[in-house]
Amino acid sequence: MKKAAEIVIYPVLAVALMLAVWAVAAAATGESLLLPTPAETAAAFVKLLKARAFWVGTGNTFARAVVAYLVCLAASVLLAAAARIKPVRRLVSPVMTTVRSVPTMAVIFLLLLWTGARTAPVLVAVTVMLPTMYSQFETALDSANAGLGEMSDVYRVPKLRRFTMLYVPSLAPPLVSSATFLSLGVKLVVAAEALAMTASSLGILLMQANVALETARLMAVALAAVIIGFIVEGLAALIKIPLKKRGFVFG
Amino acid sequence: MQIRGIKKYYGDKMVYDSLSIDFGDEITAVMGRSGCGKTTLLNIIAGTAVADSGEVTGQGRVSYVFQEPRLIPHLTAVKNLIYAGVDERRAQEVLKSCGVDGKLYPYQMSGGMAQRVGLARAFAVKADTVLLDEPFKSLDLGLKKRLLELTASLYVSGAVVMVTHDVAEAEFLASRAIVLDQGEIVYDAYKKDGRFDGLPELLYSL
Repeated sequence: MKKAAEIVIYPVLAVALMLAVWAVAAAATGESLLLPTPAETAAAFVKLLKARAFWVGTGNTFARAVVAYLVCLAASVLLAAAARIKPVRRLVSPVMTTVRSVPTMAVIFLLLLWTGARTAPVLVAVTVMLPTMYSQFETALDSANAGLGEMSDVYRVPKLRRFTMLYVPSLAPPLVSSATFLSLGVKLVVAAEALAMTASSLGILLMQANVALETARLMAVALAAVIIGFIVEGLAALIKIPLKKRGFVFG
Repeated sequence: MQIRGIKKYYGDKMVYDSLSIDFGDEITAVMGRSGCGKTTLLNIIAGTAVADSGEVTGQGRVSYVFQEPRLIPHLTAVKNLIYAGVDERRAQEVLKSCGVDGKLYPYQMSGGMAQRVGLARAFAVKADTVLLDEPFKSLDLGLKKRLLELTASLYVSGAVVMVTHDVAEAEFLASRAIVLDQGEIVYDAYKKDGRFDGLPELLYSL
């Protein structure tokens, strides 16, 4: 009963609470242009679902987010592995700090200047996500190395066995946890697409709704991005269950 | 196993200036105040710390029981032993003799059970030298007694060097006791009638 409450009832209550606050705020505002009601947004969302442009746009945006995520994932794993070597770590660390500190808007504008409207959103997402993902994988490998590395040295465990039985599996938790970056990637890609006016994207649908002062439609597009985020994070949470049973430790 | 003329400094702090000990095929308890370098000695024997000078010979294959179990969390008990180089059949046998289900993951084990797996691993690899670094430190008395008995039953031959603060532990398990203080041996004797007579006061002072 307690598990059912945790998995179903609390999330449902949380959504209900958010909808209630939204409805009250919309009623208090009394102006759909400023804040449409949940019902108006739902109607706009249903209308969106019937539009081909929405599905094409969602597919393109999600594809860009996936590309950005995979690029970050590969780069993070490779860099974290390379950072086992101290000079490499010392080189990578300030670069990551710099990348993390550059304002996102500056990144968007510069990348729009240097690349095209279709590529810039992917690179924006990579630039924002990479430092944090790298940090997670670096921490995972550090913890795998701490006492377990010394134990492996004492027992003279061959390098290949350490690689296959210790280091590679230790990447599983941050790999699964990194799925949350995919939903962040969608958000970043949408923002960059809106500024870049990228054709056939969720971002441009957002921009068009904004320009046309169709706030309900704008919020419906935003809702689509939120739903993608929930699906991705829900899938990651499901994957964690069998992994936890097999002893993997998540944060 | 022999250690000869071991010198070890951490910066200006001397741990050992010229320590020499011959370890036989027996269980030797190494005792002394906290910070006197007992764990450093084990690490030098194990090869995970390097002495400034001197040498360790005859240690052969080394296994180690740490203060905390140091089990790989995503491997079962059996797989943890296989990782350390034990073949599967022997791993199953030794774990069974330790009363541990080989299919359990570390998160499913109590602290005592995890430490039993650590002991099983150390003795299952058929090491020439087994090092124990206060492995029963944070366990309650009942559990400590059971693990001490288990250790005694697992020991077949070879040099075992056990670091401990606990005189009762040493008297139960070891046949020889060495007490270190300020880098030197201040006591080295064999057990008589189950006791180490004349142990230095420093072991009992707060």
